[in-house]
Amino acid sequence: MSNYSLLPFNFEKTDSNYLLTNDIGEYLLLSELDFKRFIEKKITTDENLYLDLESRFFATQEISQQLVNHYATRYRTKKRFVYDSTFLHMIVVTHRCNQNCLYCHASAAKEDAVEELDLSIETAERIVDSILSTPSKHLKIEFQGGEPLLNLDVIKHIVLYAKEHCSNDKKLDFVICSNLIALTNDHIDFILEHQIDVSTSLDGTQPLHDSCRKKHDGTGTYAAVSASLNKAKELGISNISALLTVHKKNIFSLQDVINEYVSRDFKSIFIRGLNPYGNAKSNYDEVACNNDEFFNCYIAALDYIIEINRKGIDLVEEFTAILLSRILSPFANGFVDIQSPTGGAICGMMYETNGDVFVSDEARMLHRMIKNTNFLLGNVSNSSRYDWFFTEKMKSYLECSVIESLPGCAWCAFAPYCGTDPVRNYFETGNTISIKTLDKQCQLNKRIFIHLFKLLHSSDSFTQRLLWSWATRG
Amino acid sequence: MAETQICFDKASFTLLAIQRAVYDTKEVVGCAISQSEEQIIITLNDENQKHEDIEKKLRASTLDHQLRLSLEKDFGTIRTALVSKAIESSVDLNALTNEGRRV
Repeated sequence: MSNYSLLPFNFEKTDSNYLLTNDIGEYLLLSELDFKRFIEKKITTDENLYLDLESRFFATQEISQQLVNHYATRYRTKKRFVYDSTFLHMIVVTHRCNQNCLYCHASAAKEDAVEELDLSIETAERIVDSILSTPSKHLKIEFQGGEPLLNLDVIKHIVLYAKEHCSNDKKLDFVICSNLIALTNDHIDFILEHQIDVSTSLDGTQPLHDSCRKKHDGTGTYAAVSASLNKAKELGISNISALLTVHKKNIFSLQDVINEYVSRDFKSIFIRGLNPYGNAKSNYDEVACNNDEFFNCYIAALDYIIEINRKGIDLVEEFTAILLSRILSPFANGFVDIQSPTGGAICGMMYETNGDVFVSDEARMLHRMIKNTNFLLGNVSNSSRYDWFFTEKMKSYLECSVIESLPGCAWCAFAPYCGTDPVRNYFETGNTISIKTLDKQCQLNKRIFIHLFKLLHSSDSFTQRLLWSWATRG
Repeated sequence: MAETQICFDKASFTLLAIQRAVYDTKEVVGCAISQSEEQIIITLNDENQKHEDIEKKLRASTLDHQLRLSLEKDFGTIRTALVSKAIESSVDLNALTNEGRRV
């Protein structure tokens, strides 16, 4: 009989193995027999298996102060985002949009709608003052809409005002999230001059993209986006990324979507499902896919991307890379949608055109749809960050996202790598806490995690090396 | 389909393990949990479901949860100590906020 103590872990039976994970994100896959021997403390301390278990903090021969300190440091490293302050600040500069996408979650208005839907200079300055008061040393301001380029004057003012008032010890980055269909040389000059990143949307080839991303007259936008991407590239904008939305009309053609991204020399693709807000809710039957469809197509697309890489073309699948970095690296990776506690407010905040402050993009979408104020923290005109954070509302919002204490999550083997979004839970089930049997996101994530662990332990050394490279890229 | 009763011996299974298993099993739409002197009984009462498959899943899940509960007894105290140590510098929010209102 060995003399060792078990350190805390969760487990999940997968096929004939047991996956063990712990709070600091270490994992180990054991056979059923080894798992039994481990928990019955029948492994001898000179076995390689024991050394594996000890080095990954599943067992110890002595609970020493050094062990506690080391474990605590690893735990804090994994939760580093809690100790930093809000990094991502999203500003809605207008609700007007020159597109009318079938799944628009932002409930955008028409391009020629009233000016009250735009952010004013005065409110913009108050928002920036608030952003600059954030202790974080690295701030990212992301312009959202509607279509942000329809209110370029305010974007220009924000960039100049923020640069002028930002203290020297802070790093300041800007991103414009634009559909690019109205991109002009004036826009390009400004983007280049201030080194602004551009994030656009591309749902695949022309028929796939145009099936959902349309103008108000019903015509597709692929040709305009394509022309703008080419023009931007010709004129020297290199920092453009594209975001894919997977919907019913492109989900069964993800290989074509991937080929489109490769042909445009994008180095990554994010296979991302629909957000269920705004038009995506009202057009649900037309655009939404179920979990089984999404999972099966996601896995097939991932296999295809691995094969593309095998042929020497670099392409990263972002969601996989994010999850793998959670599994394989000791660090937090700042992906706010899946974190515990949630990344809403503590990592990212959303500022509306009228100065209202929300915990997240999803929270403002919910408010725009049904005027729900559960996740509205205040307004920049009459309150400060201190007021937004030290409230019962914020406390309750964060509490219900600490998955380590939630039924179902507390004993889930994937919890160290996962998280929940109280806003989405509230929208989908009426409860901010994730109810496992109703939480489709949880059910999907679990299947993806199981698949990724299988890939990590596949016999294909190329796949293993590729996944490690995704997880540990800078 | 009639009601199905799934019985667990109290000598081997706790109510908490059974409750956790029921919570985790998404196929369970409707059920009641009752207790006799020696048994804990789950009554599946959704007539539209295939109870055999659910029973199999519930039994497997209950076994796992019972094991989790005994493991938690084994390392629960050390888990509390480890996490407490990890967050000890940030547990006093008042001290944190008085020090420059860092939010």
